[in-house]
Amino acid sequence: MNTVLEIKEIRKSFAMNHGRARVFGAEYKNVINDLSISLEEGMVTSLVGGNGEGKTTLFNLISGLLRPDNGQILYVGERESIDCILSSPWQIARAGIGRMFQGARVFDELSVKDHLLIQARQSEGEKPFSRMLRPARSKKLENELSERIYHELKGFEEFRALWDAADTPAASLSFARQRLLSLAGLLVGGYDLLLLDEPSSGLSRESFETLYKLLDVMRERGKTVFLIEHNMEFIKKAADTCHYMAEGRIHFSGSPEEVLDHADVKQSYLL
Amino acid sequence: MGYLSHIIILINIYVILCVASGLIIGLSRMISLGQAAFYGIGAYITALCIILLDLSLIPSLILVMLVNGLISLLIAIPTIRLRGDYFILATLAFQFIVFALLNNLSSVTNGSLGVSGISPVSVMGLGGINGQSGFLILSAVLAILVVLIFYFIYHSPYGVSLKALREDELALQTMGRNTRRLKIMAFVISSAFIGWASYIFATYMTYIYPGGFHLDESIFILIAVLVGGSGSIRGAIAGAVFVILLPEVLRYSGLPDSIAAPMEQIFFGLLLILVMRFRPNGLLGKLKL
Amino acid sequence: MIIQFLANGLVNGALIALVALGFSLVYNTTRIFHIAYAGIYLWAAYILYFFLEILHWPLAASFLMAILGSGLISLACEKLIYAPLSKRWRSPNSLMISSVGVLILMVSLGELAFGNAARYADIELPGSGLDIGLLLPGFKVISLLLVTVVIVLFFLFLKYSSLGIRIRALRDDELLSRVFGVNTTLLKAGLFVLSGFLVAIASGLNMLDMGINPHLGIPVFINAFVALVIGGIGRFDGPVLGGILLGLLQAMTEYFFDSRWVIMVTFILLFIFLIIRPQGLIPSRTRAF
Repeated sequence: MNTVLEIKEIRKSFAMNHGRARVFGAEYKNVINDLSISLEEGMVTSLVGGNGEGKTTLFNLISGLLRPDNGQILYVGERESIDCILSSPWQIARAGIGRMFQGARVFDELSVKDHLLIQARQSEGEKPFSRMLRPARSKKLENELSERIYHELKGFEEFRALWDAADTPAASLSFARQRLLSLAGLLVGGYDLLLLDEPSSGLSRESFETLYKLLDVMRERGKTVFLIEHNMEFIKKAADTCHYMAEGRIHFSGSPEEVLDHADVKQSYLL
Repeated sequence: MGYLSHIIILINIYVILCVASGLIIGLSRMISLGQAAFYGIGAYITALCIILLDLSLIPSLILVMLVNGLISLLIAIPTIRLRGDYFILATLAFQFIVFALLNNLSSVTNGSLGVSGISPVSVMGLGGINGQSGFLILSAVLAILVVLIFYFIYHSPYGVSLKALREDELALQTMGRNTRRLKIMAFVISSAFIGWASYIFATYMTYIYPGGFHLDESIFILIAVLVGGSGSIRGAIAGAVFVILLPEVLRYSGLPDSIAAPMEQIFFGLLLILVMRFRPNGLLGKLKL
Repeated sequence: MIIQFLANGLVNGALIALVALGFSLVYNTTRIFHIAYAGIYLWAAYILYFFLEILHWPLAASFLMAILGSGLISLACEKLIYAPLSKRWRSPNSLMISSVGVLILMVSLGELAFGNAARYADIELPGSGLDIGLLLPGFKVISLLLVTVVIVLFFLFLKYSSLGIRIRALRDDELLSRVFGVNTTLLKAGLFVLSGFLVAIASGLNMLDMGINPHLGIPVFINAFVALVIGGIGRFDGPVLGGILLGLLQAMTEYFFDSRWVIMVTFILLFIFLIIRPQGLIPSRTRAF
């Protein structure tokens, strides 16, 4: 089994007001505390833990949106291997790591089609004058991309429905459909490692099927998925392994059943 | 006929200015108070092309584009990463620095006295452009070209990425886009084409001076772009027409100049306040071309 | 000889420091880029002029009216312009642009009311008989003393009074301050008023010495903001330090080169700081996520 993502002893603290003459005093919050974790290729790994325990911060560190104070985050991808700490977010994405955020993070004014094209295109042919100077070629490229997108999405009923409404601006979609749009985007983006932050939240029961199917497809292709989730039933059905995170580090890991049946985990979910 | 064509020439110049500036101010939401600096640089390079280098139309346009593009590249690289208000400050600083250079380096630019005699405009194989009808045609041709070019840019994959960038830069980065590079490219393209407006202005007026390219002018251009509508070509054109026609309307109302000038400013000030309050996407709003 | 320039620079620096301090009162706490502040500076001087030279009130009373008037105008800005926009979640860019609109409005109203030419105070300034071989004319010495007293009082107030603590709390963390029971809405209004008072003192002193014209506001504001950037954003001692340093630096530029280059040096300095050390000389906190 290959390790795709290796995280070693990372630490991240946020300074809340330090400096002289402060009213609220100096305070450091250790959000991530010597955390180590490795992700195996081809598996769906889930991360559970109470709110505010640092899970999304961990994702932000992997995506390069934040930098850790210490430690290592190494990605060994199919296309290239990079050090996430030294790379910019766009480099990390191009290396093969795709990210889904909490909430609905779509481009309001862009259409469904634009969203999917951006993901599918992977920034090739993105020169300002290309459409003007080589209209035939750019048209052809766009058609090829649309073909590829359709091909990717056709196995998923809900994604197909989105593609049928390709010209709808993302802002007019319901929250659930916006979430589906993000997922569809990650599918056509051809990423090798997906970071999904609470993918099941906001989805209807029916859409859960789409999500399970998406995870299956990723497994089939040998891609890796890292999930933050709160829905226990979902985790038990979808994930291969599970890690419990609290106080900024991993307390224990195992199969979803093992972890979720643990007393501490049950306790934190009662909060 | 003379007055009307004068207005149309001015409108054409400002259409170019607004459509070009719209790429950064409208589409990528980087507010710049330094547009007039590029307008001015372009004008002085134009003077150089015509008076000293004796270049015809097309080589001049190319040279102006190159110089503006290069300078904007040098400025954009360090400043593009500055956040919101700091970026605006940097553009303001650039504006003032350019003005000070144009105004004080008298040996090169003739200082506050300006440069006159920016003429003639020769087009290879077609003779010279002179008289109002000549400039009417020239300005219209260039304006239409700019509108077309930017239409294609706005609707290219690059333009769509810029729109996404405006919405959520971080999310776009996680989709593999080097947003810094995208923004710098917008900046360079925008200032390059501002040079075309500079060219027409300088050769039509035949006289330029630093005061015409200062903060007032930058704010004027900003107003035109914002009022018309952020991020659309139609908006930029509407904005240009609006800000050119308004002073003319005021003039016809018969107010003396000493009142008309501040009245015009008062109107623009109120316009900015009201637009930001009630229609932050411009008067034409989200209508796209 | 150089001492003369430095002394003058010190006085100017103190005035810049006061303006910068007033601006930072608003900027540090609300992050609003209150560029209309330049207009308030202008109108403080105009109000002083009006009461002094048109109504012929005594100096102290006129000065008081200028201070009160500025406070009032500042409050109006907050209540009528910024608060409605903040409530509707408009971006900081929109607020800044509205502020530009307000500034344009104020400058042109000033031009309408008082004309384009400079206006002066025709009275005998306090301290004019006091030239006992000092480096500076008596009035400038008095200005310097007054500004120093005001600044010292301000810092004492900030550190020891309950209002001062609440201001610092607001600056640190607005949400948390509200949790602790600070009425942030009232406090913000108070801050705007206070900033108006401070700028009026600086403006009034300057007006008595050098007169006022409609185009004075923006350069003064720019100096103040450069002082803020140099000294350090997010603290109140930063702008004071920055102001004094800038005043001295400008004096040196004038001594070694020419007054024409002062503004360019100022802006190059701003540019350099924005790129290399945007947090200023006295750094403030690091932001939490």
